[in-house]
Amino acid sequence: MREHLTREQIAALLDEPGAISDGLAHLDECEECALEFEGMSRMRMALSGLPDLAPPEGEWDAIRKRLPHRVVASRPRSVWATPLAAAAVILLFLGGLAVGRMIAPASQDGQNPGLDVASSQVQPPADGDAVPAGANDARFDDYLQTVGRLRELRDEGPVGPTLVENPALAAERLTRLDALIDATREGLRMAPADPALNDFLFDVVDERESLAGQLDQTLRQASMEY
Amino acid sequence: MAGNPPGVTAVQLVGEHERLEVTEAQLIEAARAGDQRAMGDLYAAHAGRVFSVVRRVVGDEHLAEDVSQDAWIRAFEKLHLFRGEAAFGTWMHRLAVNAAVNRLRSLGRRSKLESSPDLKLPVQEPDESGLNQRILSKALDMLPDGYRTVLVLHDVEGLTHEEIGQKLDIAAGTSKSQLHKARARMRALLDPQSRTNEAGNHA
Repeated sequence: MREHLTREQIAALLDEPGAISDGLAHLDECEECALEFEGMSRMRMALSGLPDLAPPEGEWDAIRKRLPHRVVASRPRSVWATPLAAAAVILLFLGGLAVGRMIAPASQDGQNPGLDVASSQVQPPADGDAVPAGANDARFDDYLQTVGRLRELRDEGPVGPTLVENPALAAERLTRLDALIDATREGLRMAPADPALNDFLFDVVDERESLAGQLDQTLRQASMEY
Repeated sequence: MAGNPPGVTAVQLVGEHERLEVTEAQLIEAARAGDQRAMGDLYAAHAGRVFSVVRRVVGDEHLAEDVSQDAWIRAFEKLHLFRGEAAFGTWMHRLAVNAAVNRLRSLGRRSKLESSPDLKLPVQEPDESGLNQRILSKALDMLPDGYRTVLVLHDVEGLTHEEIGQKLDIAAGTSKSQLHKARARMRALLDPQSRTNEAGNHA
């Protein structure tokens, strides 16, 4: 006569076949214990294959609201100290220039009013040059000015919820948003993690998607009516 | 109308594509600088895994929601300490496990290994793996905290007994013993009829 293995003993055999003296030999002889071993193996396999659960709805919003102020920077200077960010200044400057050229209509004398704010001289430090004290602050101010100019360009021209009622104005707005997206993408190619650029890009893309969707719907309705 | 306005029919998710090209290291750098969008992206990439381990360790939905939030807030507070030796997901997972274990400890629940109440699981309909995942999760919740913690960390999360021992301040041998008891308890919950003569004799 031989006692059955307990579930704990069978559980031990799952990881260490030699954990119980003659345990495996017993499984060969005892159908009931072998079935229990099989069931426990299936259970372990099922546990290891449990899929990830979906996080609760609204969890990120709740976390965001609870983030301490010291964690969420209002002016992310730390990013600016990096060479990448320095390059972003140059690119933003050039990007602002490009946006100005694309968006602002040329004046009579050929000057482009869109360039006014973005025309400050921002130069990268030469390779190997030491950055003078205060240079980063100056670049940061230039950077903020250029971002501010991008925002001004975004806010210029036809805007508003009724824009979609006038397809021509809506198209003009879409062109402006496309130019802003291109310029911001150029900046992000050099500084993909730049917070202000990412924020700006998302805002502009959100607006573009929304407007394009509304306009598409309006045009479809119009084509059905006619 | 002479043609559609530019871009009207070709809505491109430019922003989304751009963000997909951003590496996790860049997101971490931006999050360190306080960028909430970057934090949100890191959260989105790992939220499921974090919530899963927290939920399964604490065994309670509402408690898990609280602990999961705490883990993320702590992660962003301590992000400057993340040096990149391990993947961010691994670092975050460790934080989540610690948060869950510490919460159970602070509630004085982890050491409770008393018998579970006489709970009954609903009749299960096995899926392809032979076990219904919902029933399996329910059974996990019904385990005493100490058993569940070890079982989840070992059999679900794949930690070694040495790693579990460090997290729970117990010996590796204790972790092993707890695991065997936890598996036995789970089997009893999942299939109570299978061992009517537990530790009995052969005829």
